[in-house]
Amino acid sequence: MYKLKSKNENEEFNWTYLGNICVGRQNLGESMPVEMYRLFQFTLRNILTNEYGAEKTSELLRNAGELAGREFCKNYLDRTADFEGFISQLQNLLKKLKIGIFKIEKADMEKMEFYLIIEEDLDCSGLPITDESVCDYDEGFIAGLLNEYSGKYFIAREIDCWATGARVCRFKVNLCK
Amino acid sequence: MNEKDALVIYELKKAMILLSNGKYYEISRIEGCSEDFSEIIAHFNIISNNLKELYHFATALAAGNLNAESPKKSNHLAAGLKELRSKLNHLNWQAQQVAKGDYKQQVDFMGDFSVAFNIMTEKLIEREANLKEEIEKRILIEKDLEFHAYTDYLTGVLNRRTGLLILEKEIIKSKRNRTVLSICFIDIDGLKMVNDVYSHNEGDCLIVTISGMIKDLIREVDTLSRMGGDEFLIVLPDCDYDTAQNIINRIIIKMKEYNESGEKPYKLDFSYGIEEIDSDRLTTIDDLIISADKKMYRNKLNKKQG
Repeated sequence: MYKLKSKNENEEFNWTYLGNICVGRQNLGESMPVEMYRLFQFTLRNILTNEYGAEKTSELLRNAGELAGREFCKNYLDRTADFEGFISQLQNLLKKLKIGIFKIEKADMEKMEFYLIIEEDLDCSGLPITDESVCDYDEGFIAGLLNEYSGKYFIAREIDCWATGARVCRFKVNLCK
Repeated sequence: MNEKDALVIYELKKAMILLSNGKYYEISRIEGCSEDFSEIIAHFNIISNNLKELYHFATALAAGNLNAESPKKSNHLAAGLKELRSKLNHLNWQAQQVAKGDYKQQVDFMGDFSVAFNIMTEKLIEREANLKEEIEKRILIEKDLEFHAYTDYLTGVLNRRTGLLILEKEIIKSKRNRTVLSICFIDIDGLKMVNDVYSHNEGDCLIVTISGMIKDLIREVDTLSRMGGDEFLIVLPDCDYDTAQNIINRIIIKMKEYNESGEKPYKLDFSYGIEEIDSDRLTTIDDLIISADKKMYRNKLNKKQG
């Protein structure tokens, strides 16, 4: 049995550990404002940064995002679909779940290199400009999705962020050789 | 404020006039001015450069150059245009997908453009469906026309015209390859009686039944055509007289079995004449048919007398 507070070296996280939210929140329902999501994430990031430094914190968030991306893909997406079908599903779902507006800028299927954008991103849209890219978790999430779908290993890096003054998050995704 | 500061103000005024006329101007450092005014110059130059970058970027986008060099990250004035470029890149990708046949692409949150694009893809889906339906209809019509051009409507065997064309081709082939060719002319017996006693529908049924039996028992290379009324022609390539006779005998046996079953109140029967074509002799189609017809007639007479 997966325990949230134990070190789970031999037990992998899976979707069922999120519990039955419909049952648990019969009155308040399954939705929550983005503001609250940010409050929880940013305070966590703040403490982690103080404890482990900015670079380590980014790495931890990225790894967590990768795990989430893989699980999201397993639970929600049809991995047998062709690439265009997979992207279409993903776009529709991220919009429906209000995670963001996912779009492809460029896709080089030979080099397996992509430029992706997420508009109205959960983590950063509307943030003040601080000249830092803050969407580490999203980098991991995107890589996790693609890794689970393709069985290959991708790296995603944010190249534009709301916090750097852009109004969309842009990611460059490469296949690791 | 000292003399140098006054110079800064002068330079600023000049620069702003130029800027408002679309000309970018960088103010050089003025030695001796106060720190505040130095900072003013520095920030003015940043804004001026940012505006210049913005202008070039906007111009490139307007020309459709989506790969233009991005303004610096520190140029926050360019955020809106960078967002626009990202959206245009995505639209570009979507257009490529539509060109590949993916009409499910939809554009969201881009106002009138979204509406127009989404209507366009809906219409493409509709048009493709209509086109497919139209093509399928035309294929069916063509098949139908082909069927009627080559086929006898009642029996489904080849019609007279097609039968004679095939015979002509087989004659040429047999002469060229020096192979044997036979024809068999068939005339259904008793059709008039069946029409008169049991109705023309029953007469049609008789024609269909006999032609069906023949079709089932001739070889795959043989062709059966209806010459008209109760007459049929079988073209038998690579077939001598005896082999043709064997084939006819098989059909006759089948007919006898059918008659013995008592399924009909009348007997199925036909008269026939086989003609083997001599490839060394010049033969016309008419001569062949006439010869086979004569043999058929002799067969009919023999049966009546027999």
